[in-house]
Amino acid sequence: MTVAPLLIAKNVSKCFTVGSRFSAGGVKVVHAVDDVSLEVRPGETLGLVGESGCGKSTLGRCLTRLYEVSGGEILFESEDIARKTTAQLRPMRQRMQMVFQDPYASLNPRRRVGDIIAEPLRVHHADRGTAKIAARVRELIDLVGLAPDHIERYPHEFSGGQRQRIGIARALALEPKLLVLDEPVSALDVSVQAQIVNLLADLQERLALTYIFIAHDLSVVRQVSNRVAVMYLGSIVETGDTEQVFRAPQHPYTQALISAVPVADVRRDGRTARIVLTGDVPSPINPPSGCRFHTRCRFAQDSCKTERPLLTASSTVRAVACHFPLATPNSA
Amino acid sequence: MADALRNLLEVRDLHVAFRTSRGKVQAISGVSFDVAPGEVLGVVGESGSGKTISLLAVMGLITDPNAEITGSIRFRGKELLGASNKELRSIRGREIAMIFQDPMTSLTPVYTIGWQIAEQVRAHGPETAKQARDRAVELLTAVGLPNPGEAVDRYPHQLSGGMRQRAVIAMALSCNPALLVADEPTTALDVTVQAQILDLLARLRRDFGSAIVFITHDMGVIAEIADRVLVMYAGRVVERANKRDIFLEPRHPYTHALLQSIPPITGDRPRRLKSIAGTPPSLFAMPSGCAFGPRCTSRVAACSAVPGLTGEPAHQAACFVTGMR
Repeated sequence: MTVAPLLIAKNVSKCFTVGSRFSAGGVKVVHAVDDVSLEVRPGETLGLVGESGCGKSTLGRCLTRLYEVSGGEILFESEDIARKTTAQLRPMRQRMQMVFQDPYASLNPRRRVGDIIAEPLRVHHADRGTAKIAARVRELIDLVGLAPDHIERYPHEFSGGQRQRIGIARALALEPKLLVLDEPVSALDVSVQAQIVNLLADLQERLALTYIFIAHDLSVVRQVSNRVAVMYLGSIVETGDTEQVFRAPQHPYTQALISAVPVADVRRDGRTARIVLTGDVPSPINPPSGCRFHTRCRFAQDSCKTERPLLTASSTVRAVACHFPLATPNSA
Repeated sequence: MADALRNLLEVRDLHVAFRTSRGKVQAISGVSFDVAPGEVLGVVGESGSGKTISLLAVMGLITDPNAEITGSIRFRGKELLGASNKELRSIRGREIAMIFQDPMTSLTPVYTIGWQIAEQVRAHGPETAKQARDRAVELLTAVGLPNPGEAVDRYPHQLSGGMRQRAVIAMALSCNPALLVADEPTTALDVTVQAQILDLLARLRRDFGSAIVFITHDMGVIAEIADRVLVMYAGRVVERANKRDIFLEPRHPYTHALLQSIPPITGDRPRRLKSIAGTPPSLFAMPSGCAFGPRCTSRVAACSAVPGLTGEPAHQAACFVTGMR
């Protein structure tokens, strides 16, 4: 508790404009991330979950300042990075890196693996010299479980899992403190997915890394995260300790989301507990008034349509944005 | 087993190979399976395991001139392999329908979904344009699309992913097919939408009595929807059994490892996931003998030959070590 958070986001918002003033309806504003606050402590894994379009990837890119933020503050090691210029950000980039979902799109097909991994070193440590950089590349290749002869090969010669290892090696090249992993295993086959999940866990332990793990696969997030934040339509609706959130969700959306995951167990009848949400996620261009989830919520009442619930702490580690949070068995 | 009246579809010893610039590639080797009326057969496997190719062969949709397909595919006792396009057209869409992973591959962006469903209805029946349109509205209602009367005039880009998949399912159901082949129909969808689609498919099977072949890589989805399961690896069926046996008493080491590698959503979290070392083999560099051998922890000397499926008819596995149990 005494350890200062590595990253603090305060009321972060990100809007995109769509259309032009000549298109039908004119310029519209999409509130992709809407007033999000969170903290990431050193050494932990924060899981960001939600369905497609909920803003989890946008938030990840805001936190690493790959996107300009529209509002709010982002404190990384107590420095506000939300308003820094590109030049001011450059030295900070070494301490926060990103791993992307699609290992086919995030590696340049015309460059050798060794060059791909060396690129961040050449940018940030040009003074180090070729030999030192080459030594570091070999070290990184070994760290992520690839063989030294892979350095001279091109990305197309690798399978999806191996490519993801290359992406991780590149992200680790500058010895970052924080890794933002955006759906790092969702493009992989199940048997390979487990390898990468284990690799990330090993690396975290060995290098004392802090992760923000963005994924839509709830069982993977449950496996890797210490804490989770559940997003819906640009906002965090519930956050807390992973075990607690999964065992006793307090937000009706979290509950429905968890119950929708098909369980690979034939002994329990998954169907009985299933809460099927009706309808689709509303458009973030024109979000519902009040609680954004009220259009699909089983427990919605009149006040939910007008008053927007804020993310309020229900205990020291738990917060939920709901007027009528679900009771938890042990701490009601 | 080979009871022609009992089984809707019987696939025997199906081989699919492609001639490529890098030599001949064997995509499917000796796949056999049956589908009984009204049952849900789950086909699981990783990418490249041949699950999609074997079903495309069944549908007569492999049109590549470099493909070599041998074996036997009987639908209601009628041989489909080698049947003319005209014969296939009368079966496809009417008696066997297919749903693909990405609904946009089966929808054209330039026509409304109502038009596209009506086209399918009129291609196989005597309906007039007006009747076909009414049928389209009826089908969209059946698959639970909100506001079907209005949705029928929408273009695919105006619908969300889940709504598009419902429209494609409506199209597939337009002729009350006896067999529905669903190739990863929920993989591109969010879990809450996936839950809706799985419920819909279960309801349709109840109401229309269609048999479903459900291709997926997700064991959770299999546990949810299938009656019987085929596990495929590197172009072969490595295990087949009813769902309960696959999950509770898997015989093939691959099935076992696959189940172990899924992070659980309830209960204790394992400190580490049990992963399968290595990657699935490339079709261009297939290991000799058992294709799973190089990744297998129970490997013995006998594994340098290709194992056949053994065991009682209801539960078979292709493994020298564990298959006989």
